[in-house]
Amino acid sequence: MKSLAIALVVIFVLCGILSILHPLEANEMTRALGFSSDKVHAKHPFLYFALAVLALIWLRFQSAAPAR
Amino acid sequence: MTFAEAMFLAVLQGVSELFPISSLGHTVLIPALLHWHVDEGDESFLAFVVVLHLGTALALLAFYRAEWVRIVSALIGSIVRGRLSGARDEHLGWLLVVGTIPVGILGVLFQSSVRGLFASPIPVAIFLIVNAGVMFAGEALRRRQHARDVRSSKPIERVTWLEGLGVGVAQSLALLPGISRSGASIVAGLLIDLDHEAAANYSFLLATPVILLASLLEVPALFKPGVTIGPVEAIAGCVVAGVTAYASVAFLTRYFEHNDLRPFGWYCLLAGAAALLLFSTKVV
Repeated sequence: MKSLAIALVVIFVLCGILSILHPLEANEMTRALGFSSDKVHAKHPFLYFALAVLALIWLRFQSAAPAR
Repeated sequence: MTFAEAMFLAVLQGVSELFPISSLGHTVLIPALLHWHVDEGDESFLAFVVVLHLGTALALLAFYRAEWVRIVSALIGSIVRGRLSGARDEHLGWLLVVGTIPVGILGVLFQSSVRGLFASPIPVAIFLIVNAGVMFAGEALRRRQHARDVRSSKPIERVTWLEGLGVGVAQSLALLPGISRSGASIVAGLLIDLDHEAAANYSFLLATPVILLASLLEVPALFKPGVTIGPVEAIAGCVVAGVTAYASVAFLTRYFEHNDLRPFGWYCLLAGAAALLLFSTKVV
């Protein structure tokens, strides 16, 4: 579980960074999927970083010594 | 949009965001019924809606301020310790975090496309009728469960993570205009054996971070070029929506001590049916 938490932190941070550097823009596929907006998806980085924080908290719970 | 229309929308938002009758549905239906020339994709209108949501979220924070202080302290304490103690406030806090994840993900990914598809009067009227059905079905299922098992309601600290996640998923249904956030989450709360009062309180606590974060993420919309909303209109809208939301949550928490969702179900059924009739026959 600890390795899964670490993997999730890394994945979400990377996704967050990538979504800032290369924001998802509207294209044929996104329109076909029903995403209406022609705007850049500016909220995706917030979502990824929020999920990274939650994964980090989960990692904290996994790492702490069990109560005796 | 005139100042009077803006203040009417602020009152409507403050009331309908917390009453289980769908604020988004009413924001679509009422201007259409009154023939207001409101373009719901217009930057100024969207900016005004952000202000109204901010007012509602601040009202919820103010109403549950003591509870939030205890919840946030308990959450921080558990993160520092790195383990869960099982205390009520800590458990409630993590349930709120777990319950916020589905609507956070689905909201960011699908909110604008879902609204684009369904935010017109006829789909909203249909979803209002569905909302009524959800509330009636929730009440009926709960009565049947309790009649069969003779079981009593459980306290919030006995709600499991999976049940908390389920309430969060139910709350996500409110992305559909016409489905009420509080209605869906109260019904989900009832189905996991909370009583009406606890389910309503949990629903309002669960709504607070969602409304607050969603409106904070939209704050840049206030400063976009072409936004014509004035500071007086914005502040007045925020205050009016906030005061109305505070009064609504104060009323509803008392209401759910002894009453159920059925009156709101009847309201949604009648309002949805009337709107469907009026808009589909092009009377309005």
